[in-house]
Amino acid sequence: MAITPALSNNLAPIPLDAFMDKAARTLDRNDSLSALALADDLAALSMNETLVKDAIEAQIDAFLQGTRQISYTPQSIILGGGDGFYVRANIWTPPRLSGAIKEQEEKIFSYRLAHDHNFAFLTAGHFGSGYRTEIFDYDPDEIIGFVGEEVDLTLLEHTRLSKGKVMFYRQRRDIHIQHPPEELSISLNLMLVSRESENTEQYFFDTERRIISGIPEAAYVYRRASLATLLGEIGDYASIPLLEQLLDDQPNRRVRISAMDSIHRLSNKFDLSESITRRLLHDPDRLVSAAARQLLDYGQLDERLSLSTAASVYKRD
Amino acid sequence: MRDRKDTFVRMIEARLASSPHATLRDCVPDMLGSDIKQWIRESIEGELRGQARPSQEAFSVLLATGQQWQLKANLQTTVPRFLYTSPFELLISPVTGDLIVDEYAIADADGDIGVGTPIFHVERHRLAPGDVLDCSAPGRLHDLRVGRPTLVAKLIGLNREPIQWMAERSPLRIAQAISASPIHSELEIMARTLGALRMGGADALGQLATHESHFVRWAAIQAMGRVEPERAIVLLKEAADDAHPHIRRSASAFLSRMQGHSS
Repeated sequence: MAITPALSNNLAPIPLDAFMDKAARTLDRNDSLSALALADDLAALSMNETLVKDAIEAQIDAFLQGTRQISYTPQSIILGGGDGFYVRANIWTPPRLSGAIKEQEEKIFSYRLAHDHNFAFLTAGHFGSGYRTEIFDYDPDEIIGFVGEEVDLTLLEHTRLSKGKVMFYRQRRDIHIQHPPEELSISLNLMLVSRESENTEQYFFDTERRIISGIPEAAYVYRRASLATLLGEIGDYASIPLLEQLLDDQPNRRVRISAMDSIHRLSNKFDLSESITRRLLHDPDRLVSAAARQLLDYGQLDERLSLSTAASVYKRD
Repeated sequence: MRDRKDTFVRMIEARLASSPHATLRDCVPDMLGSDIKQWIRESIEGELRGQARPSQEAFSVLLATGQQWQLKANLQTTVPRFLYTSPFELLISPVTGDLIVDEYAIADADGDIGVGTPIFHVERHRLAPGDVLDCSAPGRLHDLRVGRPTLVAKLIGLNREPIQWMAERSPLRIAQAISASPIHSELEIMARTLGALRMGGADALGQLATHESHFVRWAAIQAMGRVEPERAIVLLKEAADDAHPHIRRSASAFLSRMQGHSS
């Protein structure tokens, strides 16, 4: 389950550079659980009351001087990074709008959207009452990865990331639903990054129907695959060797499926054989072999496998 | 082919530099004659080979950028739930299929637009691959409708409106004003956060209180009320003469309420 480590008594605030030094010395890139050794340190960092205020002042200054670019998510402030990790502050605001517009606003924060993560992270409540969350467990090895596929979910807990609390979210295994906080709240995240996470799946879930309900298209694993899909839309005969190379070399299953889909579409366009798709009927990855079967039987991927359809489900305007 | 894209970049730059009044609309002939489909293919292949910076959006590829514009293409798959004005100059051109674009206008676009202001249907455009439509007119909303996923090229200029209007489809009316710049949205959140923290940051808020975006100015003044209330009063008095009517109204109403409490 998501781990809530016990913290030492008598913690005192620490500065950011002390935390970064300790993280650089402690984290093992091959063992995400090594982050748990930093639970006390993240709690101590979260006690640093001027940490976020100082960061915001510096960022406002940089914006006004024109030396800072926009961040991908406006509610995140990167505080610092090292080899295989970075630290950010996340600002969680209560929705201010209502009706259908509120739905759009909530999508920005992924509120009320059950999702897993293709990375592990340690998080601490820094300010405010914090977001409420429901946490579920699932075994990613027990699913194939279709949209609509049933998932054996186990509700672990309802909790709140209140000030001073530290939680560790395991890569993939922990699914959570975040509810908007009653007041503006801030959490600190120690994010663990790896090349592996670039190729690791991430899903949205419908926890009532207990199914995979979509994918976050912004995740790198899908962004790259989307380009392979587009190449089938716009590519020509000369594009096929590159797609074949992706099919053979890529560890990313979504890139492979998109490449196969594009090869299949281009093969039909240029009246080539379907030998590559047939070969993939026997691929050890069951999602890839199922995609090959669909392409041969129906000529296209259905909503359970189509990347663009899966990405559209939770797409913001 | 690379040369032709470089030529396109130079042509757009030259057109925009030719006159202080030049707009992206002047670039329509360049876009009509360009081989965007080939550029998309090359850009995708370059990125998949790891020779280009990874895209920040799925189903989207950046083709070229200039001083004040960028050319990108993205796969149009869904019809958005709301309609939006374009706060920046925008030319669109379908690449892989036909595109229907319904154009709407805000009623009394020169008046005081706000939530509830009606919009009305103006025209339906039918675009074939390679056609170009200028979606830059202020106060206009363009609804891109696709029968199947379609790649659409977009030549996008700098923000020229501080606000983007978001409208409901039924009934046809304005539902929300959105800050047109993501930077302004970030600054607004930062101002609100400084206000919630009450740990200082008054100088930063003082700078934001004169920001060009009225969203940012108002967030900064409100936050100042929690960080340094005396300084907020000064800002509110100045805001009673703000350039934006919403800030003038809100500041005056607040000052009146405050006077009522103190008398």
